[in-house]
Amino acid sequence: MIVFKDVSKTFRTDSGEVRALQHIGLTIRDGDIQGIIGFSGAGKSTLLRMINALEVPTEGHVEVDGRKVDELPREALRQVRKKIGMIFQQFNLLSSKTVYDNIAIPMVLNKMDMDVIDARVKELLRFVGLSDKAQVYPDQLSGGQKQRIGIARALATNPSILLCDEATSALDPETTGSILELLGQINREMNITIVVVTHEINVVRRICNRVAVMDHGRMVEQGSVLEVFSNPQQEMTKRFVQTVIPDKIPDSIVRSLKKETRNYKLLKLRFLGETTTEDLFYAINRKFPVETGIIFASCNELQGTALGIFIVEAIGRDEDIAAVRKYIVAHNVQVQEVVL
Amino acid sequence: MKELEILLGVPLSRIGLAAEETVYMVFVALLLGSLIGLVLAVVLVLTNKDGILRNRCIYGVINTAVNVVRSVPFIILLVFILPLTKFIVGTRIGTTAALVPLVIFIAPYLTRLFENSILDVDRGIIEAAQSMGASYFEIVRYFLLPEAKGSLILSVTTGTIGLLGATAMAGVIGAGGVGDLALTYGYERLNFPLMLFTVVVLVVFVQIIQTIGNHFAFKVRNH
Repeated sequence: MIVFKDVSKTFRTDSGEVRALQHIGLTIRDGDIQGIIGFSGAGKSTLLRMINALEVPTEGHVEVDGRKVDELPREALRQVRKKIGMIFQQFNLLSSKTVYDNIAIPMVLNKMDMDVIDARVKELLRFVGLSDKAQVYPDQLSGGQKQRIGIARALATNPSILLCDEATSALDPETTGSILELLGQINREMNITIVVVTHEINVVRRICNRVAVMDHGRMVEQGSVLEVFSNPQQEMTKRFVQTVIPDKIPDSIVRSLKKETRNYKLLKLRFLGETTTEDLFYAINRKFPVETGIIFASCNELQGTALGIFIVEAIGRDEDIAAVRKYIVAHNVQVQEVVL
Repeated sequence: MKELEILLGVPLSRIGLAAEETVYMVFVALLLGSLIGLVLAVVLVLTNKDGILRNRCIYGVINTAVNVVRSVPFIILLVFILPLTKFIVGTRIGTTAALVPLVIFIAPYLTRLFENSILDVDRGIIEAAQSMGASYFEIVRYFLLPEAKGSLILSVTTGTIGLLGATAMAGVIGAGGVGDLALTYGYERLNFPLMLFTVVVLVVFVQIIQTIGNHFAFKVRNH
């Protein structure tokens, strides 16, 4: 378990103090894939680096499995770091060493026997699907292949935590997909806790089960991916979520709605999982003197659960529309009024 | 052979001896200078303001010392440190005595070249090393030096050529060498053929050194 306890970080630079992180509290449970998302400069990388104490907080503490890593003496910290793998945006492979030697290096540092290292390197190469590249140098590999080697290297010492610092940001969408799949597989098969720092909401949507949203050094929102994506609270979160789960009414429809002379309200409905929609609309139309029309709909899958968003134009008297809202809420569907 | 000796005005064995002296001075000074330079360069890189062992005091002392020694022209350094030379090797003159100023001259020069070579290693490599729990020594041994190797070889090459130039001046304290031969026999006796010959020899020396350096650097960089 990784716990951030009221963590703040202030950098002192020539041009004054920069408050990189402010009062961050976050708990990452074992086996989670925690996403940390934010624009560049939000402080997410600094936060990630605190888990293996590459950065230490100015205030607060970071605990990994109950130990305050920011207070550990150097030797003890080195031992903790050996159990935390890390992969990077620029891969950070040694260009002077072969793929084989790159993967072997963490084990060489641990002074393991050569035959043990040899077996483990081969096993890891098989796992990442690059057995034929053992004697190749990193500059002969594609970006995706380099990251696979980075992952193999990070897994060499059987870590319990894997830190990913923008690990897919330098890759094309297709390669990103395959790397994310590999990360998911590592999480499931090896039960490794993964912390993913990214500015791409798609990465969070595809593999994370938890997400924390950062903005200018603050954590503005956190929770399960399902909760946060289906009902984002903060502006920053909405901006991110909208790019993958659109819930904005297209402009052309807005223009035609403006010409509507009858009294109407726009209701945004969110359905999660098994909740079915047909019954609800059928019932509304039958029970209330309100005319409904779907003007926008989207359906996405998150963590194996379907998330449907409908924007419905309800035409009728205000009090009838209010009754409809109550009725929808009573059926466990989130509803919200949209103002144009 | 005889014709060549007559043309050059000195016995060929004398030229052979001069070449031997030059090779000896360059080789030994380079070996010692490289060791000192490498250690100082590593310390500079680790202790500079972005370094993982940031230490303003140690960095400041070494940085200043390197700058001070590098600002003294070799010919001045040679005579300026004669007492030190006497203290270390027991004599002020001769080929071995010249090693002291040569090492003191080349070590700071190589320190700077090596420092630049090591600074060129991507910071991400150091971060990756730290994330693996590598100690400071392991970071240098397994990450910084192997990654900088190609560049370090080119730095040694540049240093060797600089050293070859410096040995020419070592004749002032009776160190001999090809440069000294050119000055005493060629310049002072107005022996133009000998001058020309030594220049050609030096050019060939430099070409050989640079070619070897380039070859190994290329080999390291392109595996």
